[in-house]
Amino acid sequence: MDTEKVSTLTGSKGGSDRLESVISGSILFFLVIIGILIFFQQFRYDEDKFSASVIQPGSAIDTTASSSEAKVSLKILGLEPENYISMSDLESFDQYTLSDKINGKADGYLASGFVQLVCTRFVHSSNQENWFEFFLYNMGFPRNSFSVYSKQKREGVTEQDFTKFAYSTENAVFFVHGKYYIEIVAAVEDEAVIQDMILMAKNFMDKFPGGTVELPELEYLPADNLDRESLSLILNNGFGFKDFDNIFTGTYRLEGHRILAFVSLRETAEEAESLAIAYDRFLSEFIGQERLEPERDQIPGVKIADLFGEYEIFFVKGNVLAGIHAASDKAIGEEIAFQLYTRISELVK
Amino acid sequence: MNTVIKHGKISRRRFINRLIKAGLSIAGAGALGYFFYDPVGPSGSLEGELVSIPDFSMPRAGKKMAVVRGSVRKETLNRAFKALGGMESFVKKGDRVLLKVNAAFASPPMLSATSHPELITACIDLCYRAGAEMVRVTDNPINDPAACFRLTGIEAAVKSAGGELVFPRDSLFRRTTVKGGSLITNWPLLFSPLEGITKLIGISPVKGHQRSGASMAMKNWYGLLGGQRNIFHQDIHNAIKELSMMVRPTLVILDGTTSMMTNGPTGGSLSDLKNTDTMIVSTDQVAADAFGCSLLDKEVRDLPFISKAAEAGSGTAEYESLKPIFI
Repeated sequence: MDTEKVSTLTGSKGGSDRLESVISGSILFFLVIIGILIFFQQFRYDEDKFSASVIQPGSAIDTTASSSEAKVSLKILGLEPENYISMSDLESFDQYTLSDKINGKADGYLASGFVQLVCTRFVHSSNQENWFEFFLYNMGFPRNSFSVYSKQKREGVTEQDFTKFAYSTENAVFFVHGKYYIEIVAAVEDEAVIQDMILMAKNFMDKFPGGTVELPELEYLPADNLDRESLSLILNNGFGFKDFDNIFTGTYRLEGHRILAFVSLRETAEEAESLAIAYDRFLSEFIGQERLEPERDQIPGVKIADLFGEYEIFFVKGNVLAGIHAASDKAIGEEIAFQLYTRISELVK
Repeated sequence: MNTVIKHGKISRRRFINRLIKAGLSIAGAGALGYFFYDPVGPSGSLEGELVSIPDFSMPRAGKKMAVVRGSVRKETLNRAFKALGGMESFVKKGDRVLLKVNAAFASPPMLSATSHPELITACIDLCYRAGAEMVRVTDNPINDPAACFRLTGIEAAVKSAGGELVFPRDSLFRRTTVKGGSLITNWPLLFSPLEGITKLIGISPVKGHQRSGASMAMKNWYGLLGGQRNIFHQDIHNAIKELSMMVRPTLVILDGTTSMMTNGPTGGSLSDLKNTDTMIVSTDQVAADAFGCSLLDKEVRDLPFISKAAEAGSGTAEYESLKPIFI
């Protein structure tokens, strides 16, 4: 009896053992194959992928970019104004090497969808001190390029009208052209050089037409008292809240106060509503807000929080989440919030 | 047969057999992994012993600091050293001096992203007047070194003042590990320019920095590192702390004549700058940064690397304790 039972068990275990062996053998076989592939692949280390590349004029291929990007890179050469000549090689940087060019500023670009930077310098043919560098950032999408443009925008600048989003400072020109964010930085402070750089900017736009940047959310911000220079786009982690993405902001100046208004267009009204609830919970759990009542009952469902003497005011209208961030004065914050609500109501039914 | 499996249970012998096989497999895999382990990486090399930067500080000179207001670098530097007893208090006859400048970017001097050439010229001149046998200048820039030294005006400044400019190249790097550190371990260090040196002076601008909050005297030593050093930005405050542990300079010169308030560390526009008209010279690099942050409208608590460096024994964040001389 015992012998029979043992035989039966052994027989069934034998089949199981064979199955285990086949599975184990297969796994080991694949691991060996993977190991062999890794072994041979490691001898094919491509240093170009981890260091800046120099694009030689006339070369057909830029190893760090798609062929269309390579063409864009090379076409920068020749766009310089008259009396300027190329001063340096055309350099190209990708996600892995961007910090080799701009060091600690790289993170901001990488978080905003950075694809590639191409840059080169041009010098005046009769004055070696007079040179400028052209930085062409491919940010992937117009929203991304507007975001890095707006986040770095300086105060007290001269707005330029050669395109929708452009300005100049004492020595530099900055603008957005479609998916490109462009900086042209001079080594001298000279209005004539600024004009030369604007000319190159126009040459670039002529060479690469179709660089319009459509940002319909900006229309939701009422024009009265709005500082248009302050318009900005926060792509992610807005106001320290991880779920806040695609937040457009603008600063209003009213009665000596600077009030930051924000607008975010969501896919659906339900999404806007749930995001508002999540933000309210975030303020409550992590910042310890004190909930306040509105002084006037004009915005349905408005939420107001006192954050250590600054006021967070926000509401949902249709698929738009909007509000005021860190207002220094509650009454003025509510005033701007009401104007914002009125404007959005005109556009969202 | 019943020694193999009895009543559905595995036998002791077979269990031990399998255990040994499994152990050998794990050991074999581990040995194979160790065989392929490359502690250096694809472009590194492990030549010679690990090196350490000698301690160039001068305890006998004491902890000193001078803060001079003014817009002309040569004047404010001279006044600062005069207040501290002259460059002769730090650089003696026959000394071989290394100036570690900030030449990180191929950017013109007016953008203040790098050490100003006028300041470098003035400092070299002071060293020679104090009796220095030789003054060497170096940095390992972020951008192409040749372009950086030329376009920043540093190369011309060093030549005009009779200094020796050392361009970084692979053969000048050795490996270092910061004692007590956890980030800078077995890392390439621009070491050869330090060999034979008797005094080390850091010269850096005051800049905001999007990652660390500020780039001043301590962050300047980042330019002595090689390799893929940008990984240190992932833990930048501890990295700067370890830089302060790695280097014990004779003194630091923190140039706050013009400070980069926004869009640092590269800037790009004159509108990123503010005339803060301040020159700081200190034997304590932590104290220099602790004061320097006020030029950026920041406080010590805004820049965690300052407190971390102080806790690591690199200096004091309470710069007032040095009884700085304000002029």
